[in-house]
Amino acid sequence: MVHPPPTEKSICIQCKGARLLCGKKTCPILKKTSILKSVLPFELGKSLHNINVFGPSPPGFFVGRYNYPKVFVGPLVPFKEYVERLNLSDFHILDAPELWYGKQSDDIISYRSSLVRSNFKINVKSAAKDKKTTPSLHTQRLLETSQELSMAARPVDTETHLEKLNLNIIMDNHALPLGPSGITKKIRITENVRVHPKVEYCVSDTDLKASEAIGDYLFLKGRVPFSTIQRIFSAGLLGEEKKRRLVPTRWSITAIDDIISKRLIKEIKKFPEINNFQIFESTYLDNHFKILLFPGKFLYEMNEVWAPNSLWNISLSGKKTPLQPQIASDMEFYHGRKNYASNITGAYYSARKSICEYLYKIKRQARVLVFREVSAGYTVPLGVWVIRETVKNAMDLEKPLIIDNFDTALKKMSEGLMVDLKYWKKYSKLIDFIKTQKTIDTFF
Amino acid sequence: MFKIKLENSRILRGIIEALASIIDETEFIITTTELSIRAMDPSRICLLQLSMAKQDFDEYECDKDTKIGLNLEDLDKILKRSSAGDSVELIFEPDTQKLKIKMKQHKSTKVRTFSLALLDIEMEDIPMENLLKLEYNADWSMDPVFFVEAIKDAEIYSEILTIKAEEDKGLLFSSVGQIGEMEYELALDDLLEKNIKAISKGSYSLQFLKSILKIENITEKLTISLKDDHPLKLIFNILEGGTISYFLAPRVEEIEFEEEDLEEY
Repeated sequence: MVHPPPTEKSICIQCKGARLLCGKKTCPILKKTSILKSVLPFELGKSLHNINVFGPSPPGFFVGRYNYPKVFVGPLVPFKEYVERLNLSDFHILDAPELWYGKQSDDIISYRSSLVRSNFKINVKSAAKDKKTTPSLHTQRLLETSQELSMAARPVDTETHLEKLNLNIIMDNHALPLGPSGITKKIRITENVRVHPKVEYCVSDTDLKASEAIGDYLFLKGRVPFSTIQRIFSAGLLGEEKKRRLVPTRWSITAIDDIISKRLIKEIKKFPEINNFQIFESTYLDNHFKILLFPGKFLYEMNEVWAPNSLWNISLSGKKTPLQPQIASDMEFYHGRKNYASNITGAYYSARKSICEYLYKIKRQARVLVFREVSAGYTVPLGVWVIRETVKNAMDLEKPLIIDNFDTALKKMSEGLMVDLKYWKKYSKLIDFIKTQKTIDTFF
Repeated sequence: MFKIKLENSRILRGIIEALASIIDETEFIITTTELSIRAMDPSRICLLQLSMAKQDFDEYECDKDTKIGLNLEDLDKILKRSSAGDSVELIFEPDTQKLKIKMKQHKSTKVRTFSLALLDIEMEDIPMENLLKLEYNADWSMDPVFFVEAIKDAEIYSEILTIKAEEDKGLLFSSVGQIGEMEYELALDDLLEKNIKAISKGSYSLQFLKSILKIENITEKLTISLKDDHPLKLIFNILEGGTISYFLAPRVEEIEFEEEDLEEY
């Protein structure tokens, strides 16, 4: 039984388990572990002792955010007993969400719960080889091994020993679910690591800015997969030597989405505008997306609604009274935004990335309006990859619906959604902007 | 060829920083008597015009009318490298296709020179005659600090600032949002000059007002003209000479679409 926090009704939607606005130590909604029981290969809350873990790391590497800047970090290595039942021919998939579209949430939880995190504690600045924060030789060696592993393009046989393995699973709105963990004193890679040449180049160039390495070298030129870019960035392997840091996984995901789409937007602004109204649509894991591209200079707005009784919009009193749709909205005009999209958070950047990739591909710019509706089936958060991949799917596969005016496009946008257009209109600043802002040339 | 110089780099730096927040690239027109810019933002909501006469500069040499296209973001980055007390000089030699930006510190022999490649920009004609002929019902000048404060207050609530001028009362800035509303009142005595003939009211995008008001710290006077549902006119007098004017298109009441019209779809 879940006991939600006694709070104002919109706090959960804003917080999504991250900021603990309710004042509790852990998010009671995220602790809904009971529903996971059938999927997990172990009994929650128990622990195992004196465990040797040996297997191909996908590769995977995690950086925690608690107690920043002294955080827990560690490679992810599959635990033989748990991973056997998955019947995998390639372990790479376990940490590569770009390959997950179409999988069920049980599959994803199974993948993640079979990976063991072998943690050690380290200051994030250690990645800069800063004299002040140089860790012990022992920790330094653990970091170097982890970094070598993070760079790998393919799974790498890795060995680690844990005195105690805590059987748990952590859900997060941004990052992928995380399985059992323990503290390690020793990590060993037992085979040669194969590295993408562009990754090799960016890691060894200690004068190259992180944003340039990510946007230009890894993404545009190297076509390096998202999860690889995110992993090496998080492992403190990119950027100018003195500025390198370990970056908590959760933050690094949004940072990469942001850096890549900003790079693309720079190019998109040089392209001609599209000349009609196009609606794209896709639904996956109870996330329903409608994306409207329409004529004008690039701007972007995302609106999302958590259906009554879905993950972040649950009835707090336990009553079955229908809740009002809670719509969150964030937008940016042509010149971009300077502050964090704090209403939508990471999903804003993930959706923007996939839409920008599409615009870049078709060599057009457009105004962009996104509606996301999350229905009650989305009971555990799986990470923003769900948003990135669902939007990508909408842009890639579906033939858009072509319309010739804004009002009809809006009506079509809300078709098939549970929430009525009048609510979307009430919260969207972009719709209001389009309908009320005059242009100066009408006064010429 | 031209060569123009300002002893105080802060002015040019402030102008370019403010322009760069509204337009990406533009054409600078340098004639034998003045430097000017006329441009619209990419979404065609805001029009701006800068003019600085020969005598507003400390040195001004121009042998022939010249137009050069520049990327403002890049120029802004370069000018941001200037320090307090630097003089700044813009030099253009036609055969180079580059603008040179020279920064010198007083009482120092240090010289920094930057160059910036010119852009080939197709500028559309911006006919301003009708805008300039517009008869406004309310004109006043005020300390821009009040306006900046009202903008920051309004931002808590929405994207829109409503401005109302009344002949016997003064000014009222207001903004309404989901969480509440704000009002910011100024009496006639708070205004420097005023000529308010009739109640006038208009709503404008805060995002643009914010970009426009960036120029505030290098200006000494702000004159505003308001007319119901017409562009807001703002004229800033730049410290040490020159003016920069903005016309900002209004936000108007939404024309609600007819439900019946939509039924056919």
